[in-house]
This record gives sequence, C-alpha cells and structure tokens, in this order.
Amino acid sequence: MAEELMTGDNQYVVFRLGREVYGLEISTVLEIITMQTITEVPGTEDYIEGVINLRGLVIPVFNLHKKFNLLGGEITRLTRIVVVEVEGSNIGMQVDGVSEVVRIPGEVIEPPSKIMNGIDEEYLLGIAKLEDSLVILLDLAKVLRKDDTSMLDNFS
Amino acid sequence: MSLHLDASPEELKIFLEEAEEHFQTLEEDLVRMEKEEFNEDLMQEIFRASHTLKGSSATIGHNRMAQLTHAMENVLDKLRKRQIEVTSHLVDIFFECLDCLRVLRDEIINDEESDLNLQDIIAKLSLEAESDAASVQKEAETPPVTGKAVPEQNDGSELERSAGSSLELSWEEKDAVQHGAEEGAIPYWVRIKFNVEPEMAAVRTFVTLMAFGEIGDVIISKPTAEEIEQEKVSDCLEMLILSRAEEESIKKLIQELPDIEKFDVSNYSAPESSSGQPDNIEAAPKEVVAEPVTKGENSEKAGNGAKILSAKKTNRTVRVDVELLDGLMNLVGELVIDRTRLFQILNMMETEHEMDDMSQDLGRTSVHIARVTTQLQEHIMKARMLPVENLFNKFPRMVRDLSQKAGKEVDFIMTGQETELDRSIIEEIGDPLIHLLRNAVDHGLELPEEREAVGKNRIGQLKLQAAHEENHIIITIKDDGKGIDPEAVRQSGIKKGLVSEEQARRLTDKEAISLIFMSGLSTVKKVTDVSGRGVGMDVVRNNIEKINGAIEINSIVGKGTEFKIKLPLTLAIIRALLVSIGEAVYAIPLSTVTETIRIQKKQIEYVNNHEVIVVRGKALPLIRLKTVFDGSISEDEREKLFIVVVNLAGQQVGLVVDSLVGEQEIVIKSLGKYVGDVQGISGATILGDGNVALIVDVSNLIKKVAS
Repeated sequence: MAEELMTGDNQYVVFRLGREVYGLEISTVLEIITMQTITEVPGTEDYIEGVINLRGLVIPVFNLHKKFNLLGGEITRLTRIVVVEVEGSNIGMQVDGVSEVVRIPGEVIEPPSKIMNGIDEEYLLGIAKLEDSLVILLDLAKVLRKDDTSMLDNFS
Repeated sequence: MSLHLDASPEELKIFLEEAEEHFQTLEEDLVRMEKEEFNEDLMQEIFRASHTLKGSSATIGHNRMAQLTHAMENVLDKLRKRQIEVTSHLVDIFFECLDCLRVLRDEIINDEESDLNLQDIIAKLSLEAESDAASVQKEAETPPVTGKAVPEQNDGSELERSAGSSLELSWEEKDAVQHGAEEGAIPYWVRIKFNVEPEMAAVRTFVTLMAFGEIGDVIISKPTAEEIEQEKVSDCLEMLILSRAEEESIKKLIQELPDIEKFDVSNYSAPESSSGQPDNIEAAPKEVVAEPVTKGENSEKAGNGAKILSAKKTNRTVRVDVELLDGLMNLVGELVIDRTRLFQILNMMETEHEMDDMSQDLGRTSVHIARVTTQLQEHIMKARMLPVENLFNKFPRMVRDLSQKAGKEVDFIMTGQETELDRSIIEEIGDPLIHLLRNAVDHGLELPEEREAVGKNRIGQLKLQAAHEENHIIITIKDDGKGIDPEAVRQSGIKKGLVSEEQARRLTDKEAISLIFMSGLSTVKKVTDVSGRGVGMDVVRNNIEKINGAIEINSIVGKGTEFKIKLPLTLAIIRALLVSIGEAVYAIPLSTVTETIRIQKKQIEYVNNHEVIVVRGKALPLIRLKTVFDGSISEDEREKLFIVVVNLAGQQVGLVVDSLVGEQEIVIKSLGKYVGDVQGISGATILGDGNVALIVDVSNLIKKVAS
C-alpha cells in the first residue's frame, strides 16, 4: 500500500495531536465535528473515550493521545472529532485541532523511520516532508485493527 | 450437475414460495390425517396440495419432483376414495416423501441436482397403491384425476361442430377485444384437443395456456386458469386470444407443443355474433361452462396463466424486502428519539417564555407529532409481524416423530397460532421451543404403562400455547408428565458445587427448580435422568434473554411441568427504566424490572461479605452499579438508596442506583465491533437530549452474582 502512495498525489486531512502533525487520507474521513458529550463505556480500553450520538448513530470515540501515549490531550475550544469510516463502521477520533486539507505528492512521502517516539511505526504509512513541516501519515486500518485483537484478548 | 429448468427466475421464485406453502399444508394435514377420523375435506386438501405440486413442477420442468408427486397422488387418490386405509406406516412414507420433496425443492435453490434416489420411495408408494389390487384394476378404467367427468370420445367432428364460439364474453372482455383490435392485434379463436393421459391433462392444458400467454393476451379461456388449477379440465382447451402474430405462426406454435391431437385456429369476428350457447362442447362438464364469465376480471387482465393463478392470493398484499422494513423501523426509531427531544424543548420554551402563543403552538404540534409517531411505530411494527403459525407448523410432525421414537403416546395441542410476533423474534425463538418440546416428550411425559400405573390417561398431553398479554407475547409449553423433583435438583446442585448445602436448603422449591437453567447443572447426565430435563437449558435461557425475553418454570412432581416464555413484541424498541449513576444515565429494560424500592443505608446487611437487604422476609442480594461500572468501591455517602429489583428466570437481584430518572421507550443500538462486548452492558440508546445512555445487561449481572 505504501508503494502505491509513493506514486500519485493524494489529499490528506491534516490535524494536530500534541505537538505533532498527522495526516489521514481524505477518502477515509467522513466529517469533522466539534466536541460532543461523550458517554463513557465502563470496562473498555483506556483509549476508547466512550460513545457519541452522530445523528442517530452510536459511534465510539478513540482518544489518539492515549492510543499513541502522547502528552496533553486536554479538551480545548479547538478539539475536534474526526469521523472516519473503516470497514463499514463509523469511528470518531478525538484530535487537538484540524488545520487543513493538503495535497501531498507521492515523492515527498518517506517510509516511517524508527526515530518517531511514542507511535508504533506499524501504524504509519509514511512521513511527508512539506516545506515547513513534517506530516505523519496514519494507516487507519492498522491503527484500529490492532485494537481489535487486543480487545478480544481482554474480553475473552 | 445443474438442473435444466424451463422457467424464468421469476417463475421459479413463485414456484418456490408456493411449494413451501404446499409443503406446510401437507405436513400439517398428514399429522391430522393420522390422528383424525376419515375426513373427506382433509383428504381433498392433501390431494390437491400434492396435485398442484405435480402440475407446477412439471410446468417448470422439474421432472423428478413431478414423478414423485405423481406417485404420491396415486396413493392419495386411493385414500381419498377409501380404497385403502390410513396407517401409521403409510403416514411415515408420506413424511419421507415430504422430506424428499424438500430436497428436490432445494435442488432448484442450489441449481444442482442432488444425489437423492427416488426409486425406493416411489417403489414404496406403488406398493401401497397396489395394496388393494382388485380396486386397482377397476381404477385403471376410470382415470383418477378428480372424479369430474372426463370426455369419453371426443373426436374431431365435435371440434368442428363447435366452430362458433362456445364462450360468452362479458362486456369487459368484449371491450378488451375491441381495444386490442384497434391497436392492431387480431383476435383468434383457438381450439385444441389433447391426446394425453387424464392425470396430466391439467398440466398440459396449463402449459399450453402459458405458451399462448407469450404470444398474445389470453382474453378468455375454457377451462379458465383457475379451473385448471382446480382440476376442472377435459381434454379440450378453447380460448380467445389477442395477438399480433399471423395465423400461420400461431398454428406453428401449436404444432410445436406436445401431446396435441387436433387443433383449430380461426379469426374471431364481432362479439355480437357469439351464439352464447353454453353447452356447445358437449364433452365438457356443465359446471365448467357456466363459469368463465364470472371470472372475467381475472382473465381479462392476466397476460399469462401464472399471473391468473397468483392474482387471487396477492390481491391485497405486497411482498416487501425485510431490509426495507428494517430500514423503516430504524427511521421510526429516530423519530421516537426526536419526539422525546421535542417535548424537552417544549418544556424549556414553556418555562422561559411562559405560555405565549408560540410555545402553545409548538405544544399542539408536538402532541400531534407524538401521536402520529406512535401510530407510525405501531403500524411498522405490525408490518414486521408474522403469525407464530409459521413457526408452530413444523412442531406437530416433530412431536409425532419424537413420541413414536420414544414409544410414547402424546396428544399435542397447539393454540394461539394466529398470535403475531416480530419476524426477527420468530427466527430466534424456534430453537429454544424445539428444545423444550423435545425435552417434554423425551423426559417430561412418561411411557403409557407408567402413566396408567399412576392412574393417568395413557395418552400424555403436551400443550403449546401462544397468547398476547399487555405488551408481551407469552408462549407456554405445558406437559402433564412426571414433573421435576426440586429435592433431586437441590441434591445435584450441591453435588456439582453450584450451591452450598446451606444455600440449597434455603431455596424455595421454585428457586430450586430454576437451578436447571444453570449451565453446570443441566449438562450433567445424571441430573437429566432425575429431573427429566435435557441438556442445554442454559442455552435455552440465554437465547431467550438475548432477545429481551424471560423464561419461567413451574413444575409439580407427578402433575407436570410448565414453561412460560415472555417475549417482547419487537426487538428494536423497548420500554426501559432510566436511572442515574453519578453523571451517567443508564437504561434498564423494563421487562426485567419487578419493582423499585427506596431504602435507608443502614438497612443493608452483610451475608458472606455480600450486601443484601431483606425485602418481605427474603434476602435480596445487591449489586452496586457504580462499583460494577466504575470499578470504584467508594462508600456511598448517601443515606437513602434506590434499589431497582430485577428478576430473570426466578432469580432476583437488587441494583443500587443513585436516582430514578423515568420510564421511556428506547431504541436499542449496538455499540459496534470496535467497542466490543462490554461486561454488564448490552447496548446503547439515544436519549431525548441527544446524549447516549448505555443499556444494562441484566442477565449478565445476575450471572455475575450467581457465580
């Protein structure tokens, strides 16, 4: 999948988590909403903040700070929930702020290096070097899939 | 090997649906046939079902099915004429046939020929058919089709002689002919005489009629499609068709059809010239002749025979995809949520603006919307309902087979088949019911000799009853067998370590019997023998509780056992009690709630380090939802506590909550696979204020206490 990305231009939704800048491929993002009242679900993984009502759908909200062991994550005026679609399910991801949608040419994306602290490199598609910043591109399916198995371990 | 059927997917679909109906009719009627005295109507019904199956399977070209049904029909015909008697062996054979038919039906679904061998069963059937050899001879001379008069010698001259029209047209039909003629179609009289065995006359006539449906509109026919269905056929078919085809090509079409001895095609002239003599074809039985006109509205519209056949059944109904119904139900769920929200907004408006015009207007509109939403919800729920009959139908045969195998005599009585349930619940409840019925026959009811020895009627009674009760459906399974001995269950409960001796002694008899629902106990063979209940009662209970139902058991030693299953009308929307725990609101399905009580903190006592309170002289174990969900064991500082008493399968637990919020209809939503299964939570719902509340999984909590 990474190879494919190297070749074409792709649009990414760019958001902030702590001091780092992340990108998600735009086709996976359904919408970006302001912070909602989140209902905590007891007994779930730490990084599952709870569930929200998205126009009649109950969807889980992931806290990526906790997921990636990043500092910060206080809820501010800028906090947003990025709603993505993965394998037919809608999932919200709580982020510190959404800045823009950028077009990133494949040639500026480099494979993930091990220097990244905190985040498991397997969650990453790569790192895009833009003129003034680095954007960490997330492989959504992997971010969420890993949860799946750990969840099963927990509840079986 | 795939089947080569001579039918379109549409036709196959209709065939499959109809076949299923006939299978069910046969199944029910065969059981009745064995049990009841000779009943001519019943025999006719069985015969007709089998015969229609034969006809339609031959039409779609499923020869093996036609073969088998033909063989069945021979025997059924004898039965109908009382030339042979109903025996249990014969009924067995018929059931075997039915199983074969289902396999053959599945061949169509899978489009693959199965390895089913029909030789045996057909041989058995013909043996039965010939069991009365003398009458067979006689029978061979008078064909056994329907007992209706069949033309004796109908030769070509008669065909010629009826060259006029023997059919009278209603004005609608005349209109249709005129209309067709204006659009360039030519009306033809077609008369056909078949050279076919009487058994197959109806099929042949039907196929021919269908063939004509393809080249034009059949305005009227004799016999009509309906009559063909009812077997009122001779070896002649006469019809008026409107077609754009040339006379020659019509003749060619007829020549290509099999089993045709003679035919005649002529142009049909002005309707007025119709002589209107009803008995032109003397060979045809009178009752047939009189009918075509009255069936006018059917034949007029129908372009082909299949449509005519189905028109009667589907006139007031529409087939709808279940997915569409699910979608509608979801949308109504949204409305139900918004309705609650609307009233909250109204309340706010009224407090803020007092009762100004606008809030009054909003009030009126809200009330109306609420009413319409409720009605909409009811209607859509009704649309999803099916009578439990669909499910119950297969039970008589099952009970019959089981009791025969077990050597027991069982009088199986079903009532309330017309009771309606949501189709998804019907799907879920089938297995538990089968299990309970099987247990009742296997273990509940005694052998005839044993029954007589204790002064009971040697025939055991097994009742299956469905009834509507308030907002629930109650399904009861009751036998008058030996019942369950609570003492025996107590003992084995102790032996299995499910309860301590002390606990066991304190259990009431009813509570003790309810132990059979616990997993450890019911799977133990020894207990099965003692208690008379089989494996997997815990599975039964789980399945029922999964759909928000509840099961209760009453048993008296020597008198019998009764299971009561309480089911919600629908799965998607339930009534719930909303409670708050800290900041969070939780929903407890109202079907599980027995009562709510307010207690003082000091009333709590401790047994084995577990919190209990004494309610009406009985100890009620408590579960603090806060502790379960927060994991915090923080001592509650409140002096007054609210307890929600919940009850499942005879087990009672008190849930400690901070306060009661209210009672409301909620729409059940899944938490989705990314959240996964959560201990003590069965789902989520959206409240009127738009927030999400979690639904408490009562059975899960109760199990937790039990373990």
